[in-house]
Amino acid sequence: MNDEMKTAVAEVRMTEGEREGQTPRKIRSMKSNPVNITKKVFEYFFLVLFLLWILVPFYIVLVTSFKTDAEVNQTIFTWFPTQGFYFEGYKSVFEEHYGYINVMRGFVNTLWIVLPPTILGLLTSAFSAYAFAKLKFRGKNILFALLLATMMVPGMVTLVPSFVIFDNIGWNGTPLPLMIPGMFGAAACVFYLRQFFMGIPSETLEAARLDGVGYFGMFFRMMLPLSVPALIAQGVLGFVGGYNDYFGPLLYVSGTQFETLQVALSSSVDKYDGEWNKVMATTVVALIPTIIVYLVAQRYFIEGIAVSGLK
Amino acid sequence: MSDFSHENGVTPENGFALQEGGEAPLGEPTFSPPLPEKKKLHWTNKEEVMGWAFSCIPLIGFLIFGLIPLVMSFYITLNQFPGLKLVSDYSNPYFPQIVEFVGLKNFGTVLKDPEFWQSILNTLFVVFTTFVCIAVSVFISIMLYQVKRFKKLFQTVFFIPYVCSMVAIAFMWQWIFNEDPGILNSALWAMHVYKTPEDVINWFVKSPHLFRLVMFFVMLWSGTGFNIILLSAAMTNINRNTYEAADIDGAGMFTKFFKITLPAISPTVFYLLVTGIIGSLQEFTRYQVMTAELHIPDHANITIVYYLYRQLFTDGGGSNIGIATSVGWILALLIGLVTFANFKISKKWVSYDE
Repeated sequence: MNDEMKTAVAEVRMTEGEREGQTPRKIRSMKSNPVNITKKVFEYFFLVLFLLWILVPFYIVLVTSFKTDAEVNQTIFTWFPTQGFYFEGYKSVFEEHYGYINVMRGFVNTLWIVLPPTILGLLTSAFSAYAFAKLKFRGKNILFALLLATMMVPGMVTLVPSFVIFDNIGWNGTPLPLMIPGMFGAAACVFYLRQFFMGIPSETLEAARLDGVGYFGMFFRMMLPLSVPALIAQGVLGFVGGYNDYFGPLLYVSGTQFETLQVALSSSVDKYDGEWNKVMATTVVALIPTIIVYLVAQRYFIEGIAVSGLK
Repeated sequence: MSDFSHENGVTPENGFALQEGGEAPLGEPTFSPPLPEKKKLHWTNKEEVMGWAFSCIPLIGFLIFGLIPLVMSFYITLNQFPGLKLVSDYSNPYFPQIVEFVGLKNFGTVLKDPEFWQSILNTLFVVFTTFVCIAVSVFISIMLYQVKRFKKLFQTVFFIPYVCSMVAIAFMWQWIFNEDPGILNSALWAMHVYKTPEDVINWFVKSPHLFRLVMFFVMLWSGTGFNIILLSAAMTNINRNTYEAADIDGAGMFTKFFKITLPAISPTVFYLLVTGIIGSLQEFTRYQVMTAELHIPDHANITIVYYLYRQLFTDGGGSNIGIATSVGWILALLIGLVTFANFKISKKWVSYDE
């Protein structure tokens, strides 16, 4: 399994040139063949079609968000704002309150709710993964098996009891149920990081130990710096997942001052009854942060996903 | 070596390990005379302590936030709590109020509810959509595998829906399928499919079939990015010479697909099937955001989790938690069964050898 994953990482990391290196030269010379040209046209036709299928809805959202109230309510949709670009939709997004909070507050709430458990959870997962990958202690295998077994517990079964418990201890209506459990780390993340840590040669750690570096020192000064790509991969996936989460915040913070962006947005449709330019402006605002994170950290996304796919 | 001198004598660390493990009389290696050739002995008992302390953090989290609710779910599912009010005022603790032991009656109530069976049907439709998503993803990945120019661009764009929030996606498609004004209806006006205002279709509430069609497109749009990335990664493992050899043998497109491509990507397809089906059995957000305010005919919008959610918040929340937990258990059982079947069937078509 471990080797399989390493191969997968290597494959994903492989540059385009290396991959093409697999193609023998004589195949390339066959390119001028008319059959091959037809084939290429066929392939690009479907790819471009699919590209449009993905992009056109984005364009529709974007263009609608710039329209005036009068234009957006016309029965016939225009592909370009005929009355010029209006920013009234965006203005109302930042000024108006839906129910309890406004968008900026929702965004700040989301960051407050998502970032601490993501970062702290990553750290605790990394500690655990470090122990499972590099330390020797009695009961290690049993503990690891137990950890993997926790992934089998169905979330839908514990949903209602958790809700009841959090309600009883007064956490309902606060962000705590969304934050605290995640801070203990996640089994899947431990599993992923352990695979990564096992690839770090033990000799390096041994040498550091002989120099008198302690366990925390080894962890912070060697394991973490060496595994930055893996940590970023898990971090961005965790952040995007938390940012986009809807069910959890709906259960615990809906209708309070702690509402996250997603929950606040979902109530904006009622608020902007029929004002689709405003609804689409909120949609754009909601989409932009994760798309930026994705475009900036694209490599890590792909890596994190490609490896998790081989579990 | 002065750092490790304590290995030979009783040090605070050794003493601590004795208390911790309590197995020293059985002759743990740490207490036996030092054997220079064994590298193991460079590691002291402190390592045991650190190992346990580090590795246990996620397990402690699970004990508190996973195991306790899991045990409680048995209790809740076997009882009824009439008049229980969740999300009430926090200064007034109320649990337990009236508790009636009812055994498996909650399961009976769920299984006798026609709306629950409707929710199963609706959820199976989501599962069906997942199959279509995977098929489309396989097709697109094969196209991607063939081309070189703009490949990176295609891959980047195809993955974007995966990072978009379900709420935003729901709004996007609500607008596209909105009655008036709406993108699709506008197009149908422009194409003269609509002649009079009476022709205009409300895609959400006209019929359950049209509503399912809408959800099909929503899920198809948002459900392929993840698959395409994984399938593309799997396809890079295929040796291109295999295709060349097949070409020389005169193999057709379908032969190449079934004999070369599919066996090579079958573990990935299997993984996507397992995770995709588990995910779609728990579909909730897209349906809830798009239809919370609408009256969809035949309850075509109630998925299993949506049904659970509605039970949880019946009468303002609380009195039906027994039923809601039973739904959770039925869903977990369903997920377990489907996954088990998936693994069984996989033996027939997934090939793990290259």
